Amino acid sequence: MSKPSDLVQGTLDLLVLKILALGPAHGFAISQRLKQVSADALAVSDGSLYPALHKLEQQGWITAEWKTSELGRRAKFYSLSPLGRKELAREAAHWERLSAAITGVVRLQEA
Amino acid sequence: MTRWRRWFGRKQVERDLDDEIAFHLAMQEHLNREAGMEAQEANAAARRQFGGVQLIREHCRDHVFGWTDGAWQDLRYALRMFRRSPAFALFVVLTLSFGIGINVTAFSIIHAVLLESLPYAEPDRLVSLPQVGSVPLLEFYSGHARSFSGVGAWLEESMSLSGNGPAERVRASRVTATFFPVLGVEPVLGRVFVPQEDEPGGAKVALLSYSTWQNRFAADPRIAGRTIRLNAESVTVIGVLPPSFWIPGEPIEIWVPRVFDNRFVPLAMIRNGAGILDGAVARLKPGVTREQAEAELRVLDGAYHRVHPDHTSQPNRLEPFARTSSVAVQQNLLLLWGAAFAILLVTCANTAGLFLARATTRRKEMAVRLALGVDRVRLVRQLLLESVPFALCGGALGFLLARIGVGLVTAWGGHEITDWRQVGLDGAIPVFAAALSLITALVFGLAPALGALRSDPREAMQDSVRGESAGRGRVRRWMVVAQTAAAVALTLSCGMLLEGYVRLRTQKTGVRTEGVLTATLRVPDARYDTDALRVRFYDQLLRRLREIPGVTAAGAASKLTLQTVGEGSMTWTEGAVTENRQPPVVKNRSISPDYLDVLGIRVVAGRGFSTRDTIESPHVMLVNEGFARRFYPDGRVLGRRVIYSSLHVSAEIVGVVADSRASIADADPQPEWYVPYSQRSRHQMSLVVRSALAPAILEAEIRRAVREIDPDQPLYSVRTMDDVVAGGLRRSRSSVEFVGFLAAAALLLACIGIYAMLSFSVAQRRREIGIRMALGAQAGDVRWLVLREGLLLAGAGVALGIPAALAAARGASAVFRGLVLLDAPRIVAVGMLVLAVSMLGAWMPARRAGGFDPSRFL
Repeated sequence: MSKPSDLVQGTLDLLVLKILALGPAHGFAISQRLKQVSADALAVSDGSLYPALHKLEQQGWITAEWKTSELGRRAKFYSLSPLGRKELAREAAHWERLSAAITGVVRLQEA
Repeated sequence: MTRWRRWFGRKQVERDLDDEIAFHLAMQEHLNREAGMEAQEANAAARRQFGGVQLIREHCRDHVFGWTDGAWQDLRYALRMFRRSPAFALFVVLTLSFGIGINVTAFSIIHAVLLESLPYAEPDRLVSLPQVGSVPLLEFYSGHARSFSGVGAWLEESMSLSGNGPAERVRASRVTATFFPVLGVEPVLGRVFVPQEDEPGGAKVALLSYSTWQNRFAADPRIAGRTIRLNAESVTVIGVLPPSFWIPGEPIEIWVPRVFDNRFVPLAMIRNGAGILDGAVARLKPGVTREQAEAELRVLDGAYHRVHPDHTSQPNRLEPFARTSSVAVQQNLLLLWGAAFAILLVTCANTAGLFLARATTRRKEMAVRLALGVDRVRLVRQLLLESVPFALCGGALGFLLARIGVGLVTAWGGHEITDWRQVGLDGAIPVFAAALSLITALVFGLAPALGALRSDPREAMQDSVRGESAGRGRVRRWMVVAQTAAAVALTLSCGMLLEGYVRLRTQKTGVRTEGVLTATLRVPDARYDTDALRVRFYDQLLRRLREIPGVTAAGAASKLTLQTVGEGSMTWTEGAVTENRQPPVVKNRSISPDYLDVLGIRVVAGRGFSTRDTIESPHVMLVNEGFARRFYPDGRVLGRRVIYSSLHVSAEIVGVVADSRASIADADPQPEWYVPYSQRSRHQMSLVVRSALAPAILEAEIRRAVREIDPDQPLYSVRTMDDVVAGGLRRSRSSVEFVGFLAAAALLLACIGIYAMLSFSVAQRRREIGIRMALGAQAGDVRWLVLREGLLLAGAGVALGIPAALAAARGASAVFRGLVLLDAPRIVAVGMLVLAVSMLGAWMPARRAGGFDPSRFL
């Protein structure tokens, strides 16, 4: 398994924050959601999610709590912090601008 | 959770991490089973999909604990490596300690001489005025120069200090009352001089240096106001100077006012412009630049010249005070640092080679880690961190070596390198050593780190041995050759110096030194201003000395044989053979009649001096054989007349004596003449006393005899003749020691260089060796293969080093007096020695190669 491509790694933070904005979840649930929503277009190895989660937790965008999961096992549930909500808004806006710019260039017609 | 809580709750954090990952895997496995996979397959699929668990865990850990945790682990791993291969560690640490040690030595000296802050107020506003030698000129500048806020001057002198212990010779300085204010120096006790004390007839006062106050006056807090005896006069101490204070030149122990009060030059001559001052310093007014001051001085100089026509105008370049060491010193320092830096580069190259050799054995490990997806940056970081413990150990050991190094360089170069400064190893020096160690670690750690980065993991796994690019290999080979050549050159130089030293020691001095004690006295000018007084003093003294039980003979001379350095006096020889019109300069002495007897210098023709040769009797002279040979080759010496001294005294040669070496540092004797001191008296004479008594007892007796005649008269430089010889040879011996130290270091480096080179070579040629052995080569053949490579490199080094050393020696024989070119057998012996040492370095890799198991590499 190779590391995720650079582009995906950079936006992984944004994706995770967004998913958590919809509600608290544990790591496995997040990875399932990612695969589901992107229709497997974002092919990352499951494990690479966790360093990103820990980094986000370190930075204070998300908080964590150990709770009992659906299967009865203990799991670490992450949720978006207020700071994280602000960061999400910022990064989402940034992404919109970036993708609009790229789309603009890609759609250029030859004169 | 805050970072600190995480640090302290490490175990918990680790457990949480494990639990989290385990949970994910369990969920995935569950999903897989529901999708229809078997239990085992579900588990394996889940793991595959997850990725490398260990790696993920490490990444998470990095985020949680920050990069320091990873770094700490890397360091611990490095220390484990230390323990596992102590020989390697020892090699590396030794090599590094030499390189770092030499550089720390050089830096300490440079720091002391060039960089240390000066103990004056605003030292960059101070300029030295070397051209001011006379008091009238000083006063002229002082009065007229508007660029300066003050001008001060000093004049060094040897004085005798008594009254608080035995009379002692001290280094003193006469200064103007403006001197300390100009420098901005505040005393730690008492006060400095006031202008009234600078007038003729001013109060007899003195300032003590801090060390004199501590050592001789036991740091008496009430020293101000105490009286001491200086040059047999009562003088009041008015203060103590700070411990950090110094001026360029030999350390001064006592300071007194009134530069014109010295006893060598009469006041009239001083007023007339005799150049007596040793130095002058001025402080620039705020806002005045050095160029402006120089311009003004040029104008003033012209004005002074108009009033004093015999004043020669001097180029008035103003140098910063106490900052400029002489050009020679600066050159020496540059040389020292250049050599040190070169050695450091060689050391780093050596160490990098050692690490590279070791890195090739870890290629597989690195490849696997890269394949698993380890961050390349992380790998580089680990490799660099691995070199840090080595560098720090090397640095610590190097710092210790630097202590020895500083001692050696100071003994060898003396003030020609250190400019009389105290070279300390505190303050900025340890910081420099630590910084240098870390930079060194970076430099030599980089090579294997970059190599690891560039390597293709797949290749390493296949164990294909890619030949090293030709360029890099050649550079390394040449470096080994250069190291060996340097070792040869240094060893040869050491050998040459040693030969010179031995020759100086063993060649006949012409003097019988056993049982002879020497001492020097100088009677003060004030009380012994006539010939009669001086002669009477020494006559009395010698008589008393002869009366001491146990003394067989006592004599005196103005300069001691074997210790005479410097030029002689002009001598007009009648009817002699001289090269040109200029009268020759010949070494000479005023002696007592017994002097030659005491030293065992025989009279070979005519007669020696006796008590009948007095101030009233005809002037007589003795010459040595060298003099006779040089100026009277026809052999008719006795009866000839010689004229000497500015008073043009004419003396008759009444005897010829055997040759003796004037100075122990000269291998060959030179022409000399002797006159009785009754006919040419001196203030300063050296006594020689032959006896069977122990030196300590004899010294006490001599001191007693002197005290009985004049209690204020100090005696100094009391040494046995053998000590005088040893002292004279000290410089030569220090050279041998210093170069010997460097040669040993160079040999060690060369040995290690070959070891590193061959280790690397062997590691690279594993496959080739394996094939050879499989094809029937014996262990011995393989060993010879490796040794041969080492022999070629070392041999090339020796072949290059010998001519280089000989050429350099011929050029350097001007600087290094006593460099004796070695004969061929000795040169060959040195070459063999270096080869043998190099082969020692080649032995271990060779043995390792011979022990290869071929099946492992095929």
